[in-house]
Amino acid sequence: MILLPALLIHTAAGAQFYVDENDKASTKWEYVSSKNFRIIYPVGSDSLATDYLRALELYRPEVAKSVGMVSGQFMSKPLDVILHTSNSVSNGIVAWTPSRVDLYTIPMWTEPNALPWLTNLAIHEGRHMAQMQSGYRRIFRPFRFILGQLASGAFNAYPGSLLSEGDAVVAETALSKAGRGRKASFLDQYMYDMDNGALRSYPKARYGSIYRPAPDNYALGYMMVSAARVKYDAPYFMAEYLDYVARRPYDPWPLRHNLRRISGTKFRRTYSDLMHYHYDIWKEEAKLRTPFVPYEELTPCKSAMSWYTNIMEMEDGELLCIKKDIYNVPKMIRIGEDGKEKNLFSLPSYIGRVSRHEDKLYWNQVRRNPRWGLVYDSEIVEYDLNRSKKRRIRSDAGNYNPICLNDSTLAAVQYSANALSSIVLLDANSGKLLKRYSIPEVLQAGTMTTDGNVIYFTASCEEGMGIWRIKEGQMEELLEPVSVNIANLECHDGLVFFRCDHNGVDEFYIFNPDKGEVLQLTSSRYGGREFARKNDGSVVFARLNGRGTNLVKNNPEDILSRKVDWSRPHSNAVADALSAQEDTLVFSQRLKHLRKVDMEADMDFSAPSRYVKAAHAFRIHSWAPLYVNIDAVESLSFDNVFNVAAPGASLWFQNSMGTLYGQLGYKISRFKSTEWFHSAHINLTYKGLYPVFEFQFHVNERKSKTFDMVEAHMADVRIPIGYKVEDTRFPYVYSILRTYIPLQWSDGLWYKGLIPQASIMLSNDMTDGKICFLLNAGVRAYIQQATPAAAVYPRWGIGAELRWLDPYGYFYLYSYLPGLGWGQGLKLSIMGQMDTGLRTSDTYISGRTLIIPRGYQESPLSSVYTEGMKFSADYAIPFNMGDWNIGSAFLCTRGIITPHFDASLLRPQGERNLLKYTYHPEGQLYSAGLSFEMDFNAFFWVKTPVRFGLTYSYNFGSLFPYSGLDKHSYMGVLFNIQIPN
Amino acid sequence: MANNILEGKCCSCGAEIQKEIDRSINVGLKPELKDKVFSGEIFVSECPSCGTKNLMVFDCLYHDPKERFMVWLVPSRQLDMNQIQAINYQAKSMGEYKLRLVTGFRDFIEKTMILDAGLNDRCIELVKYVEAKEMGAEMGQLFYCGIQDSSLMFYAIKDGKMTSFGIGMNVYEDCMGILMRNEGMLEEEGFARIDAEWVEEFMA
Repeated sequence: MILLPALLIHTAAGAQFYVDENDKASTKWEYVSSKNFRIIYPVGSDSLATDYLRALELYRPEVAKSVGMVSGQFMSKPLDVILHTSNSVSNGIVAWTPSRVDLYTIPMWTEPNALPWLTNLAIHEGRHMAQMQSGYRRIFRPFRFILGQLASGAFNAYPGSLLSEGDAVVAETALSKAGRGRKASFLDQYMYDMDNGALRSYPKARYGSIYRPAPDNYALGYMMVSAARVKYDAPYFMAEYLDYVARRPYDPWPLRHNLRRISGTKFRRTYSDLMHYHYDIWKEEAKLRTPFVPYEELTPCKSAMSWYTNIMEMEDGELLCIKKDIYNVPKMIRIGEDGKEKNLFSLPSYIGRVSRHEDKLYWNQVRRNPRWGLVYDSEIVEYDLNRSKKRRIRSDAGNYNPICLNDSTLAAVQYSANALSSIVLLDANSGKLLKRYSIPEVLQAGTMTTDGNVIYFTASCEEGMGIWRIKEGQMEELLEPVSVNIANLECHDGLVFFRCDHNGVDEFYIFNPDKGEVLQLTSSRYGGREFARKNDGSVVFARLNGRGTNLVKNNPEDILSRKVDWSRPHSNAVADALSAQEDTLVFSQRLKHLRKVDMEADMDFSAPSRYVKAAHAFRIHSWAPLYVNIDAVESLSFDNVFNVAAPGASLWFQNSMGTLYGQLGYKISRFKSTEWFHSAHINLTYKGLYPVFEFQFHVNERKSKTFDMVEAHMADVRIPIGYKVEDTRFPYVYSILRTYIPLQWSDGLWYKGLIPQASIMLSNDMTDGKICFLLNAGVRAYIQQATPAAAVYPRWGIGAELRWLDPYGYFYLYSYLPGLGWGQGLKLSIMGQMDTGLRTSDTYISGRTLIIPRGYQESPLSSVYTEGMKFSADYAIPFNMGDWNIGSAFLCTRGIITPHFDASLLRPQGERNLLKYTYHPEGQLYSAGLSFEMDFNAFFWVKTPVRFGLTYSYNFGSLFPYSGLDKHSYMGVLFNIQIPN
Repeated sequence: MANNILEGKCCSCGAEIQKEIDRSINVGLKPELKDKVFSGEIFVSECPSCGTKNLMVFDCLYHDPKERFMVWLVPSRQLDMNQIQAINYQAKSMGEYKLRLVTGFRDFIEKTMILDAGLNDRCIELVKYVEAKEMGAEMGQLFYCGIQDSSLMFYAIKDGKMTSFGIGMNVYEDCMGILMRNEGMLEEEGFARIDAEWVEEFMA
């Protein structure tokens, strides 16, 4: 029974106080503001900040129309928007508690979209900012005064990521010519699934699967919200939904209610109707695209989900491509004419497009700064296929999507701190900059190809995506930007081949720059995810199937040569209908409460000013008329509910940089039920320096005490009698200072870490005149490979931890090794604990040790034996549970059987008996058993990974008779939860 | 046991010392005596002549009617059975009482503190035994002296010096598990002696 409240409170606490990684501490910041936004940006990015401020202001009224609220409507101050320009990961985050927007300004470079990144963020994140206002309305309005931004954070649970992200994609699709709703590859999996009778039920689509990954909540949310708006002519669907939950937050199923209201049918039927609304359009469009070109399969449809990308042909006709599957990290593979695959090397999952020049491959991958998690670099990697060796080509700036022009020159895309694109020529050996071609400000460069002399590249702008070239140092537009997505550029004999969704699905095209003519080469029902032209004239592509993609081939005689009217791309019926709706929405007719809101864009920006971090250090965002111990909540320790909440008050603060955050608390409590105490509490974390500091300070939970020895004389001997414990007149003060340096290195494939840490606990209780204190120090280090989706452990990894917890020394070594079957893995570990004899004070706490095998949880031996060693082996065998669900409440996607074995060697404890248990001079304890766990993607309606199961151990060994256990068998419950993002 | 005057001589100067004592310590009636018992001051008498603090132990009965327990200190081990029976009878008439007999003043102080804190003294004896085994014989005898920050505090005396340390409550909980599984350890009748010797009885 405690699981549900624990889950909900834990989830709420984890999700509400958003804390991100940090930029470099040395970064200097400035800000520029309007009435509604304050852009905080690194010095030197003034123009970028102004561009973002302008875009946010321009789209502010537009994104507000159909959601019924406008950003900043219920907020007294401009919303802080922080630009992170040193990151290589394109993203945007709108945090509700504390309210803050983080924009990662590097344009999307892994699969550039037709919509420029700045516009994408301005609309998509702008929509989230408008959604956020719901947390300040109706029933939630008074809670704003009682709880601050905690109230809006709580409201966030109602739309969840499904509706909030789906609605934001609807906004970017409706308000631009190129939002994701118009991108073929965004929804093509649904098209395949519905064509093949494999549409998932709502819970399965909503919560996803490990073994059969579903399109994410952006896609599903878009499918549902867009269809709800268009099919039922309900442009205010999200406005009314958010208004409904602000009026009736007690309705556990608000989506069902609101869909039923517009459809008149039950939820299950409505869900099916919404999905089929898209499908019916796709079917009609597919008919218009016929005839389809026949294909032959090069690789079979795998039993496990797998995807082929980045296909390249070698001179001998064999193929190179990246293969991703759920059991392995991405791998570059070679596929022979017979379809046999040979693994070449592993790759990070987040890399740019791989290009080939003769026997060398080039790509870019990101590398995290060891300390500052928001600072990434992008470096070029060269792989020599003949020598099977990698080489990093270092450069002064981040390079993206490199290509090789000749043996000595590379070309790559660079993005400045102001997000301006340029194409640079680099020395292939040293990475030294040779030449820079600046791209006009209105364009955002994407991927490139070359014939050795001419560089062809894609770029996006407000009109869409097109192709440009740099020839003899001159840049010129070849294909005008239209509302399409272009990728997969190849150049053969002066002709440019590319993948494009010009006709509604991704097909392969050829562009002749001399003639200015575009021809469609392939035609298929679902399009292809990746294409490659072979020298024999055939086209290979990755075709969607029920288990990812497999490679197929269109033979040369079947290749089309269909002329394309480039200026008239496919018209997306749903997206166009959404845009038409937006054009007709008028604030004053429907949304009366917006009448008084200033909807005009404020283009009167402040001058750039220095953002002084110290002046904004303590930004209070939430409070509560209750003392809440967040540490106790987050650790799921509900042993004493009074540790979690007590009468009093709490106040939370966090600066906009996320480097300083914490809690001030006031608690009223009775100590020993005699006297009321008014205590003050401070929890503080500061991440703005190289070491992280955590500080706790608690004062007056009781009076401080003195523990003084009472002595007396008997005969001529002075003997201690006892301790005289007295309350002093001073309040009890208890403080902990912890510092650590979280050093992490990652290229996306390997994760390495080194974390030294130390802490000291101090209190003003005095024992014989000495204050109480406790020291603790240690270091943890690890290196491990990324964990594939369907694996339990990383395939390879090793780690170690050393710790001294006054007076005990502790070590822990572990390693991960690959198992025999799919997703299986072995974890071996050894740990030990001993009394070091190093005591810094007379006071120490003996804690429960970890050196007793599993299965002895109920034995007192865990407190008897505090010195010894334990060896453990766990072999994880994951398997598919078939994604069974109980309504929307539970969805179980995976089972894990883990045979395990523990062996402990325990230090001799003497010869005497304890009750019926004998201390053995030398002892061993063993346990062998099996755990069965189930992975849930949804647990009590909460979309978060939860692992729940049972474990059985058979306990034995020379010390078993003294363990106090009646039976050799132990059965226990296992439960683990991750905080949802 | 009448309250009276205890007489002795200062171990330093030999001067006569008279100490007014309470042989019946009813903390329901005299709550101020509780702290004096817990600190041991009740057994300390200052010489009016030289100021030396002298240890003066006397037999007494600690009675906490609220927590419903009595601890009887009989330092001489000369037990008056009639007196025991009389007190047993009186205690029974008052309902369920915990009755403990101790022979040392440290045991007396410790026992009153344990029962005052609502702890199980049998369990504490087990905890002490377990910890003594872990820490080795050189630590000497352990005495409970309070709870601090969720830890049971004990002190040990070695070479005339007191050393205090904490033991996690998990140890206490583990030992409670042992008690629960061994019903024979829970039997109570009259004034029971729950001490190290009591633990030893179960070692065979």
